[in-house]
This record gives sequence, structure tokens and C-alpha cells, in this order.
Amino acid sequence: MHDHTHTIPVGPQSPTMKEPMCIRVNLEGNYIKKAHVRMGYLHKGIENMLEGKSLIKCLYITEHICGICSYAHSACFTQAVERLYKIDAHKKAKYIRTIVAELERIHSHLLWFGFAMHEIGYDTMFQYGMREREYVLECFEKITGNRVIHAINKFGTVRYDFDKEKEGKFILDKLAKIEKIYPFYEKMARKNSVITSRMKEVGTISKSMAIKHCMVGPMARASGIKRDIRKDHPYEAYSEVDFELITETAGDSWARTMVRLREIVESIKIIKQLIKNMPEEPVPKFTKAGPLFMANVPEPKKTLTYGQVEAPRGEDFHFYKIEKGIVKKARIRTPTFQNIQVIETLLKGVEIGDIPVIISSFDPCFSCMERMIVVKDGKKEVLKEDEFRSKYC
Amino acid sequence: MNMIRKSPWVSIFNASSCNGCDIEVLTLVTPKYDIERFGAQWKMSPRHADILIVTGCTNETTKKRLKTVYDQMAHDKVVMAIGTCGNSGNFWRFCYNVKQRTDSVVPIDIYVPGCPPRPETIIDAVVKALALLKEKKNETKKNNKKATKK
Amino acid sequence: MNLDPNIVKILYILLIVPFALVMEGIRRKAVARMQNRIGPPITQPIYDILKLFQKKKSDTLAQENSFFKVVPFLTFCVAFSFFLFIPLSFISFKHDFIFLIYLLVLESALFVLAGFAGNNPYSAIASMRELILMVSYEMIFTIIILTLFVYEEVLMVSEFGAMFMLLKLPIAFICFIAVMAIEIRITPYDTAAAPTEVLEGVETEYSGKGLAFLHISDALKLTFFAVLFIYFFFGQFSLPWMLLFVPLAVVFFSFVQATTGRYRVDQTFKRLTFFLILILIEFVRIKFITW
Repeated sequence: MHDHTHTIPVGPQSPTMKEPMCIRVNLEGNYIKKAHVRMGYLHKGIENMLEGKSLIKCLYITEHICGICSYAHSACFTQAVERLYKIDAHKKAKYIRTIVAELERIHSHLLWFGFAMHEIGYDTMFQYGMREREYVLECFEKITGNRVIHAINKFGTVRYDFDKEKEGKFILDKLAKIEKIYPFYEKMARKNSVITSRMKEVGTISKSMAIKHCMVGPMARASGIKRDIRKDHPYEAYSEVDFELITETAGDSWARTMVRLREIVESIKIIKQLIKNMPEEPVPKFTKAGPLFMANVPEPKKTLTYGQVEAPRGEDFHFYKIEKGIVKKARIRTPTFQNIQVIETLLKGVEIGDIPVIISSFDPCFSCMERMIVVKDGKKEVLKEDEFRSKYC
Repeated sequence: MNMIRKSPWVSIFNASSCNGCDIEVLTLVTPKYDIERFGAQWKMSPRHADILIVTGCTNETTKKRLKTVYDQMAHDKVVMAIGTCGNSGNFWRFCYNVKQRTDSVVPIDIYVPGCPPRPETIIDAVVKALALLKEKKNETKKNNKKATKK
Repeated sequence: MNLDPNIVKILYILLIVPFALVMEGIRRKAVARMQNRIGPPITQPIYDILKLFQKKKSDTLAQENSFFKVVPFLTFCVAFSFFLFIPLSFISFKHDFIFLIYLLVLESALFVLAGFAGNNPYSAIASMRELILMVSYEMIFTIIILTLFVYEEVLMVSEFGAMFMLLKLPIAFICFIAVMAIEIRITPYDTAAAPTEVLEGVETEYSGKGLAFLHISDALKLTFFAVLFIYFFFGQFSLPWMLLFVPLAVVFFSFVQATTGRYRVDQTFKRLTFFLILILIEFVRIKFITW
């Protein structure tokens, strides 16, 4: 029988994905018969490199795991270290960290919204989204002194102090601008015929499917699962603020859009509360750990520790084994790693024009995700779970 | 007249970068730092591009791909390495999957330091790249003339 | 001031391409302004084209295909010949509307061929999409033109003389805008050239002169549709007035482009079917009800 399909590669150098990933799609006419995801374009070996490094160095490295959720990774590592050494961060430091985390969420969601609009050809909305995102970057510059990689975390404290009158007012000013224009975005997403017709009932993930694939973050919330680390295991200052957990039930690309858009408002709400209740006293320059971390902290009995934060894309989980101020073992599980598993199933049977919409609705961040390849002598190696553990863990 | 100065077309290549530089390059096409006012356009196909922006340290998987993309570009071309990772490899050069610096894979004309560099820096680099493109153009003209004389 | 008609003709032929490129520049500038950007200078496409002519070609496998070399130039020739059939008093052949339709179909067909010659999966998909849409939109376009000429009861394009047709045939006007969006490849119906789905579409493999010719023919088509838009639906103005109104029409097109997103192929097709029914209703209507 003659095969009526033909295969084309989507990516790695494709406008569909800003980061390299290759999806080989087997097309039958205009519809996808089979999709095969190929990765590894961004794998560098971060986990391997973290091993054997001192904690200060690791803090710097974890910051560079991803450019968009750079804060989330460093916060995760800081949390893990603070948990192990039982350092209680200063209250104001916690507040500042939470503000940065929420600003990062707004920035990431606006960036994503812009891209999602760009994928469906709505370039004007893309430009508007990016215009609003610039306000958030200005806020970052004011607080942390950097636009993208923030480097605000220290063990037990933060690097820069926060003045309620200066920085607080500046942030509230900028956020008011975003808040003012937000109803326009929501109206567009709800009413515009192009957006609704391109996004509704595209890439639907049912609730059971989302549970089966252990989805996290906005992806899970769009399918109706109430899963958010900020609510489930409050960290930093999240236990002191009041915010709503946003869920949608449809589970399609449009629901994911709505979840992310509505989360922007919640984030603004959180930041407002935090600035209002910000403690007056200045942030300490060093905690008892001192500038060079290990100097005067008693060595704990335990060695295993973990950090868990809600990054803009979902739950970010770091697991470490730390001995005498040296990281012995590291494992990083990023949100995209959890979410991306479903993609091959989801792409089956869709029209080729829907690929960008579906992939962008995942908000994938591959540089976070690509953690491991096992290659020996140029051959792939397939291992059972216990074999793998004994060999590599 | 040399028109390459007036319309540089840019293509971006992600060689296992951390996204930080990519989103700063992306900022260039947005309202605040619109580079289309210099005539620059973001092109999807490397065949159309005059300037290739490379971000990130080149790992083993992207090495071959970067070379292919570079070969696909039409002459005269300029390659810009954005960010510390692209310039020196940053700390990634100690990773097992990163065995070389980007400039050992393709010749790099302009290095832009910073982690990530600010958009203003990248605009400055693009302007410098234009001058370089003009130089390259003149050189190839000279070489062609020499070749025809011989 | 009275110029020798021959000089006017020569000037007209020489200035078509720069004028069309400036129109393309106006489109880009207007879109940029609507998107809150400053945008390129309006002469930018001229610089682009001059640069492309100065550049070398990149090596592709498709170069062995003779179509790959010839088709862009043919597309340009056909697009250029549009302007010899614009019914302006001093440069006009006597031709009927069927000839007009024939030229437009020829240009689209050559564009499709350019994609298939490119030897790239993405340009093949873009060409395929264009083919799928051609089946539908050329039919609608034909019926629109037919409606106009049946309404006016003329056959020759140069004899067409009606002011403010858009008030008499509003549905035809709407359908014309939809078809125009496909023909000049702007959103909402630019599925054939969707940059996020099929890269640069048909142009992906081209570089240097070939790309320049494709770009020029795009600009020529944009200008030609702006002229048709005014000629059929607003009025038959003389050349100086046309020079004023054509940029305005282009600004209107860029407004359409800036305020819409892109539909999927099947959604576009569905909407085109809807437009086809609409225009058929209009065609039947003019027989019985007119105002």
C-alpha cells in the first residue's frame, strides 16, 4: 500500500517555538496523524554541574537555569537551604521576595499572552502586551537593579532594601497602569471572534487526563484542578495575603488564556497588600550565617532537603543533598517537564494550523525543562527504575 | 550606493540559551525599543537574514544546527553573539554537554557582553554590525575585481 | 502645463515600481503606528529591494530547478502588467473584465508555482493552502466583478463609470474586502503566508534577486488592489486624484490588518463559503431590487 502521509519537522528553528524543540509531524492531508517530540537542544547538564559546588556558587547557577522564571529557581534553592539549616528569613525579606515573585508572574503571563496572540496573527495585541510588560520590567529594575535575571535572593535575606515611599509608590504607579488597561484584554479574549474561534475547543485536556499526567500550574487550573503551591503549602509571605485561586473548567487553550489573564489581577492584588503591610525596619545585610555562608552555622544532622515554589508556569521542585556546605546531589523538576508529557497525545488529529496555538498555550519553557539525557558510547540506554536509581542517584 | 546599511534583516538563533537574552532581543521589536525604525526586520528564514544573532553557549546538539543555519545565510553576513554565554561560555563551559565556545563553531564578528545585555546595548551592536556589513561588502567587491583582472 | 503624452507614458511606466513600493512602505508605517510603534520610513521597501539586488544568493538544493529561477521574474512581469490595464485615460487598452480576472488568476497561479519550486516542506504547505483557497476566492472575485458590470450593463473596463458604487452594492463591497485580504495576504485571511505556521511561506527558500522580485510583485498587487478598490467602489478619478486616494485605501487596508487576527484554513474556507452565498444573493438581487 502506498502511504499517503508525509512528514515535516516543526522546529527546531521555527517561529512556532521561540526555543528549540523539534516535533516531527506525520501529516495526512492537512491533519496530523502522529507527532513525535524530539528534545535535547537545550540540555547542558545543570544538575551535574551543581554537584560538588559550594552553596553560594549554586545560588548563582540556579538563577541562570531559566531567564523567564529566574527568580522562582533561585527562590527554590534558597528555600531548600534555609529549610536544611533552619534559618528563618527576615520578615521584610520575605515580603520583598513575594513581591518579586508576583511581579515575575505578571511579566511571564503578559509575555505569554503576547506570544499567544502573535501565534494567531494578532500582532497588534502582541505589541500591546509587550508594552504593558515593559512597565513590570521597570519595576524590576527599580527593586533589583536588573531587568531579567534579578539576583535578589540571599540566604535568610535579600540584597536590596525596599522603601515604601520610593519603590512602593513607583510599583503601585506602574501597576495602576496595567490595571487600567486590563479590562480591554479580558474583553478582547472573551469577545473577539478570531481569538475565540482559534482557541476554543482546541487542545482540550479533560480533568481526568490532567490528573493522569500530573499537570501543574495554570494548565491544571484551566482543567478545573485546584492545585497551587501558594495555597497548598504557603511559603514566604503567602500565608499573610488574601487572594483567590483561579480555575476554569473547559480545559482548552482559551481556558488557559483566561486563567493566566485573571491571575495577573490576583498578582496585582497580592502586591498591593504586601506594600501596604510592609514592615518599616530595614532588611539586615547578613543573617547569622554571615557573608560567607558556612562560617558560623551549625552543621545539621540531616542532609536531604527540598524547595517548592509556585513558578509562573506551575510547581517548581528542587531536591538537594547537601553535606558540609557542598551540594552532593541535585534534582530539579520544573513545571514544563510535568506539562509537556501530554503533547504527543494532544497533537494527534489536529489541523496543522493549530500546532502553534496548542504549543503556545502550554507556555513551554524548555531551558528549564531539559534536565537529562543518558547517552553512552553514542547509544541510547534504557533502564528500569531501580537500575536507574542505583546507577545515577 | 550601499543599501545594506538601511535594511538589516535579523534572524535569531537559540543555541541552548537560558531565554534571558532571547526575551531581551525580542524586546527590540516591541513599542519601547522598536528597531523597525532603522529598517531592521525580524525574519524567520535564515536565508533572508543579514545578521544572525546567536544566544547562549553552544551545546553538542545545537552545534551542527548552528553551522547549517550559518551556511544557509546569503553573503554578506554578520554573526552577533549576545550575552556572556555566547561570548565566553560563562560557567556553562564546565558542563559535560558544552565542549566548545560558540566562536569555534562559527566565526563571530561582534561580541555583546552582559547577562543579559540591555536592549540599548543590542541596538548599539546592530548599528555596529551595519558598519561591518558595509566593510565586508566593499572587501568582496575588491576581491571580485581582482579575480576578474587575473 | 502640457506634457507630451509619450513622455507621460514613459514616466508612468518608470514610476510604477517605486510608487508601489512606497505604498507598501505606507502600509508598514501605518500598521506600526497602530501598534504603538514608530515604524520604518515609508521609503523602506525601496531600500530593502535595492539591498536584495546587491546581495548574493544562498545555496539551496532548489537551484537546480529551472522554475525556481524563472518563476519570481514571471510573477513580477504579470504583476507589472496589471498596471498597463488600469483604465486611466492616457494608458489603456480596450479590454473587458474577463481579461482582468485572467491576469489575477495567472499571478496567483505563478505564486503557487513559486512555492512548489522552492523544494521546502513549508513553502509546499503554503502553496497548497493558496491552492485550496484559490478554488473559493477566485470564484467570489469573479462574481463580484460580474455583479458590478452587470449592474452597470457594460463589458469594457474603461467604459465602467459609476460613482459611489459601495452605496448601491454594499454586500459586494464587503465581499471585495474579504477577497482582497486573501489576495494581498493580510490578516484575517492570510493563511497562505502565515509566518508563525509556515515560516515565510512561499518565500522561505528564496534569497537575493528572486526574493526581490517576489517582494515587488507583492507590493504591485497591493497597489493594484487599492486602485481597483477605488475605481470600482468610489469613482473613476483622474490620475492626480488617484495618487491621493490610493494611499488612503492602503491605510484602510492596514487598519484591517492591524485590527484582526488570523483564521485557520478551514475557518477561512467556511467564511468564504458564506461570502459566496452573500454575493450570489447580491447578484440575484440586482435583477429585481435596486436603489
